[in-house]
Amino acid sequence: MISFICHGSMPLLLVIPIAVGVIAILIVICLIARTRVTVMHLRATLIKQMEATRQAESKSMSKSNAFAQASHDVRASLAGVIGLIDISYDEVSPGSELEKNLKQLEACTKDLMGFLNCILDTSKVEAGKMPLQEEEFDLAQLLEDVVDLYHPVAMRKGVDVILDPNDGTVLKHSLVKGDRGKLKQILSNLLSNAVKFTDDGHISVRAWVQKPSLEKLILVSTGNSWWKRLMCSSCKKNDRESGDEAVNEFRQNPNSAEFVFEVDDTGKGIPKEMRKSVFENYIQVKETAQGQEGTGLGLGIVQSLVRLMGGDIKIMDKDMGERGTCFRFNVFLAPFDAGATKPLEEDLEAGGYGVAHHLGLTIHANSPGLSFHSSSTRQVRSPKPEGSPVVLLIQNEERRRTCQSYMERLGIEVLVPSQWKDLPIILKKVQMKIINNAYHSSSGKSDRSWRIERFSKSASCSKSRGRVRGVSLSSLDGADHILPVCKSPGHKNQAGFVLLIVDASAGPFQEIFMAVTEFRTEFRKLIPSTRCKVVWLDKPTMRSIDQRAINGKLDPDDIIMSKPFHGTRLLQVIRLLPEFGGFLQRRPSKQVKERPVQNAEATKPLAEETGSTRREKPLGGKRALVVDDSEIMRKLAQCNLSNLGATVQLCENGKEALQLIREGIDEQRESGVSDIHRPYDYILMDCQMPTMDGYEATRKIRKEEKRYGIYMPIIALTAHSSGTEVKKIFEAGMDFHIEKPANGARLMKAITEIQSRGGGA
Amino acid sequence: MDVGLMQMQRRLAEYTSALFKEGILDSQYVQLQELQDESNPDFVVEVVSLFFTDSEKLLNDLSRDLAQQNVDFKRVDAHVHQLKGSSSSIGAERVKNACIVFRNFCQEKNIPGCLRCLQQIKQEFLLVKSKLETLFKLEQQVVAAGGSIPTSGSLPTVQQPIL
Repeated sequence: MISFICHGSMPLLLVIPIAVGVIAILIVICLIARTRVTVMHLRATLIKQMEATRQAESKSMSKSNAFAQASHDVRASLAGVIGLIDISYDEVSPGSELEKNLKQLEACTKDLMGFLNCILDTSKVEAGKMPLQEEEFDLAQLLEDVVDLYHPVAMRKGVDVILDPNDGTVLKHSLVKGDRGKLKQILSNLLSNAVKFTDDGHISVRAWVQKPSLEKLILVSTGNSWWKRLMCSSCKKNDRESGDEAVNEFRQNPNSAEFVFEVDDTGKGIPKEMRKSVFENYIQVKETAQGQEGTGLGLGIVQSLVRLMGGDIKIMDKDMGERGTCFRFNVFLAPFDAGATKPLEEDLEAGGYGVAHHLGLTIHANSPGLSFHSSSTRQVRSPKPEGSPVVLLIQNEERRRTCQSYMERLGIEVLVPSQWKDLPIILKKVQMKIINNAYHSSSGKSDRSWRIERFSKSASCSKSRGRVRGVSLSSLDGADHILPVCKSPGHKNQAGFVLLIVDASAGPFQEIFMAVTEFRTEFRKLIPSTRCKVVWLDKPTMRSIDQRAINGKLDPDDIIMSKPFHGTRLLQVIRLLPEFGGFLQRRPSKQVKERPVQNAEATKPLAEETGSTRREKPLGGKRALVVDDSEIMRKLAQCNLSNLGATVQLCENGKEALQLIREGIDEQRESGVSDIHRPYDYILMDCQMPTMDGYEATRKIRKEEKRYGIYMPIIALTAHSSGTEVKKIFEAGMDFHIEKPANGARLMKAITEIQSRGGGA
Repeated sequence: MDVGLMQMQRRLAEYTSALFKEGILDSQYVQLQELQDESNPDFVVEVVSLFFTDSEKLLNDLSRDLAQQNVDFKRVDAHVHQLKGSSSSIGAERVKNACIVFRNFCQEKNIPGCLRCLQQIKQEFLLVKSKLETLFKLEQQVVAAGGSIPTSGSLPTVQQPIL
């Protein structure tokens, strides 16, 4: 073949393919070489870029660190300014120009602190220096506090801030363990944003509890592992890792439950495109940010904090036609039940939004009784027509809706006039209904006695129907709270009850008041056994209830509440209903004025009724004997000691003191007491007195005491503190000495000293 | 706010702080003021009035005792002790100091010294009495005009700022 080619007549035909082949090979080689070069270029660029990123990251880290360091200095200087302003207050004459200026100075420094904290928090989170603190706290109370905090500011703009009780799951598990401060910061930030960007309508805050489901757990843990591996190789961010770890830690903790929060407003809203970016630091939605101050850091901090607590935050879509923004975030907290024995799962089995309040009985000695104990069985409760009706007239639509739905969930029948003009019609309806009921109800035994017992210290839980879970009666000590207990549907009230909740600003007050009084008088005439109670809701700053206009004809049993109607106040009012333990008797009118003041501490009067010791008075319940010849000293001592809570007996010299003590002992012996108690818990003895001085009196008292095995600490009042005097004091048998004149501080010092020695108490 | 009331309150505050600055009253008086509240609305006035009557009686006794042929120093000392006690309990600092000096002379049984001291005590007592009476009048005026008596802040307390 080759010889043919060599001698062939077509050498060109062969050369061409070969040439083409060679050229092709050359081209390929060229391309390869070029690609190589490109690849090398790319590699070099990549390395350069990675280096740049690393540098940028480390710069930012060090900047954050520097920020955190600098915080000390800035804070110290600010502290100095605040302190100096404080001191200056003392020197200034009240009402002067200077005082006004000082007040403004103080306000400016407070703002400065706020901004500074904002900026520093961000840097702290970035620098990874925000540890989570664990403490036990009451979540429902925290929510209420934050909402109440922003309520006045919002009201001034015409925006109502409402705490939506939702399905009540938060109330059931309100004692939790977690970082209270950070949660409060998250809520405050979101609320302050909401207030800033909302000019009318309302802001709702709601929360509920969910149990993170098991499948989610598995998915999360496995999902995280291999996904994490992938991510790890390409990302080195500190917080991402720690975030993931935190997430794992929270979700895998069998005790923790998922708490979901929503802050929903009717403001300007955030456009869809900006939803992700608002959480980035320093981004503000510019169109709505005109005239608003702020560092643009708030939401970034919120997101970091939420992530730190194991959750996440996002903006929810609203229904068509609804304006505003709804932020939803979740955190993981460990509910902490003091008395319940049933595990968590069963409570939440009925479903996150479930209405079945079956026996979520938790008694906490410290919380204002927010838990509900229902003796009904597991079923969705529908408003019972035999129960006490409630008429709810509230101006703000959203608040009306939330109150109504919550009460209906509890099985209360609620009638709601949509505006104040409809009030008389609704009242008439109620009247008709009660009259019908009164005719048809069976004459059951009125359970008045049972209801009253609810309030006594030894609340007989055994009497309640239905299951009771692990109630420790000892935790009811002090009666710090009342459990609103709903009686089973079998009961029919012989004595009826109607509750009217009236927003005094829902319309012209005069007219509303007249409608209510008319209703009341007619009611009393027709059905005397039914009681009618009115709760007036008033604004704290702009009182709608004009006392003069109504000529003080307010029924003494009526209650005026001036704080926003949600949270503990809502529960307080619900408890007025007999189904939940309300009183049917008339209370003395004094209570009316005290109610608006009590608010969250509605249980205080009960605590006093049941005679628990007042914790603020250190000498509460103690008897003191003052022995001094100077009337001034006696008066001083009496005042000081009674301010500390003691009962004081005065006498003029040692002889009288001895007599009084002997009389105290004799009284006990005559009444047949076998174990003689000391007649006084403390004796304040002046040293220099006529007839019988302090030393001699003490010696004689000690002799008497030995006969009965009692001991009374004696505090010597002396003008001398020299060595010999003091020696005399202790030799006579006195326990402690204070320098004249005896003021509160010196007395307390002596008493605490004695108590620590174990002589007092 | 009523300008007249503000002025009165300012005058009251200035008068009170002057009393402290001059050493006529000391911190014990502040304690008395703090004991006064709704349950004891006239506490300070009551105690101070007691002091006045007590002290006047004591001063008379002292004058009489020192004028005796044979001065009973024990008795005199007891009286002064009492006066010292009551003056310190209402915060009449100068009177109390004068009493201390008196007791020294008493222990030395130095009659002319005692007499001089007694004069001194009487002077200081009259001074504090008139000053307090003026103070009470000012307070009454302020209260009558609808204001409230501020507790004396003339003893500056350094507050730690909480951060």
